[in-house]
Amino acid sequence: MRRMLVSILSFFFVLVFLFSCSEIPQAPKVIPLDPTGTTKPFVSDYTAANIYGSVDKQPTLVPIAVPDPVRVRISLPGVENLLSSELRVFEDNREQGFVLYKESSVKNKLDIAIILDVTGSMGYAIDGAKNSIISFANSLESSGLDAKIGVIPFDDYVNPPSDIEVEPGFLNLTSPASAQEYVSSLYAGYGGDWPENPYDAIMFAATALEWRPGAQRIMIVITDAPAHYKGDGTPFVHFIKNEMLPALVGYFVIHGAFVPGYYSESTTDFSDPGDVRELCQKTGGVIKYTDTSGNVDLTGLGIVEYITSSWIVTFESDSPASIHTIEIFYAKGSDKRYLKLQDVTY
Amino acid sequence: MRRVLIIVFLIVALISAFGFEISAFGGMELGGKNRPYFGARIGTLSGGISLMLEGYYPVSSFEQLEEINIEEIQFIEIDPYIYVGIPLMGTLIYAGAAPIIILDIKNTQFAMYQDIFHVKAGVRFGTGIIFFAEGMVTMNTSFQIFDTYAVSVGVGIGF
Repeated sequence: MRRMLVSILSFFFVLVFLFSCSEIPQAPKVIPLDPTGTTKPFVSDYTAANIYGSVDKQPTLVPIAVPDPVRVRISLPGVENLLSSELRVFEDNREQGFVLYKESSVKNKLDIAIILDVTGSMGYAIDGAKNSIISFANSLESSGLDAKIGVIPFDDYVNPPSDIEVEPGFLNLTSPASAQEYVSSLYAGYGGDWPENPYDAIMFAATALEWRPGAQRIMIVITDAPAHYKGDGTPFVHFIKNEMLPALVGYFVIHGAFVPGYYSESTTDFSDPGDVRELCQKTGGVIKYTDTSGNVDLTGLGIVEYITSSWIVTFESDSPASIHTIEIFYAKGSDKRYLKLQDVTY
Repeated sequence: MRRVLIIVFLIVALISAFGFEISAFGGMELGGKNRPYFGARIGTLSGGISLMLEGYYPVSSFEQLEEINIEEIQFIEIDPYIYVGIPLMGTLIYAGAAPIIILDIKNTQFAMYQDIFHVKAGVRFGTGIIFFAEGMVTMNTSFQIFDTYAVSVGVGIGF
């Protein structure tokens, strides 16, 4: 008995030493103390454009008796090298000590779900998506990222959509080449009434795709139509945004490519129940608009740049169980950007 | 590699010189998110120098304990402790330290924290069936202590 246990323990130790370097996400070790006696910059000196963010809730195991840090993902398109000295982080108006690291330095795996509206008005968008998936994936790979792509076509229904013949009804995360082949089999169907059902498609992607552990999880919604939502009188929709957000915020970043029309570029209030852009906004995603014909160029959306310019800011919350407001100020010369996350839970 | 082999040899030699203990325990963090946790340990805890391999699984609340599906657990913490124990009037008072290792069960990966480690002190009662209580802190390599602590109680068998 003793010999057997000795063997097991010895085996364990050898394994530990052999595998001590891996891609398991770790909590930061030492977060600097919070600065004291500082004042918050004037928000009016900063712009809210070109800075995106959300709290990262992807699971990591924080060791026992180690403070569980808050992780906020921020993206600053156009900023290649970000220094801690260029950022200031406030939780509920109190400045935080933080550790900063580039997300792609610890997560080089990237899983992308393309949520694609396949109704008649999207004919050009599908052609654009077909043409650009490979160049999109190539640009991701040239950034050193290991990318997999899944595709969820939808109209009023998902897996499969009701108005086109497609087999299988969705494409699980796979190689970019396979994704291109699948997308080439898609075409624009009828679609019925004007709104479609991206909410079911997004939740289907969140739960049905085989997302890889440790990968950045991104969805790209491409649509021109407002969303049906639970309670709007249709029988096929199962979600409203407020029910979706707890399952999405912190776990996925949802980018949107919207065809102008219902989705006006001048709109800043996305709270309408059928407006998908609120999901992008609250998950820290980019909201972009296609040309009026709906041509979609995935490489032109700035998503590659978003990914390669994403950082994780980690700090210790003063009260992890409460609801917070997080403010992040970036300043480098005359480039000043400001991000505010409200009603944040960890 | 030679260094690894020497360490393994020393560990095996230490283990073979002592008796064994297998136990289960539960505990709670004091500070931070106040997470409850449970775990198990196996090793040679006794007077003098001894070695224990301990596994921990934290949960977010006591309510979550009832909902745990063992097959869905992905990460556990594994700490190989080296203890120094002092027998005293039928009890064992012990203190030790361990590196912090995270095991990803689903992907069969280990990750070891480079610059923090656990330090623990406890007291054990009984022979045959044993009971213990202990407190744990985390230190960095500059010997600064994080302000989150943990306390555990457990029961097991010694042979």
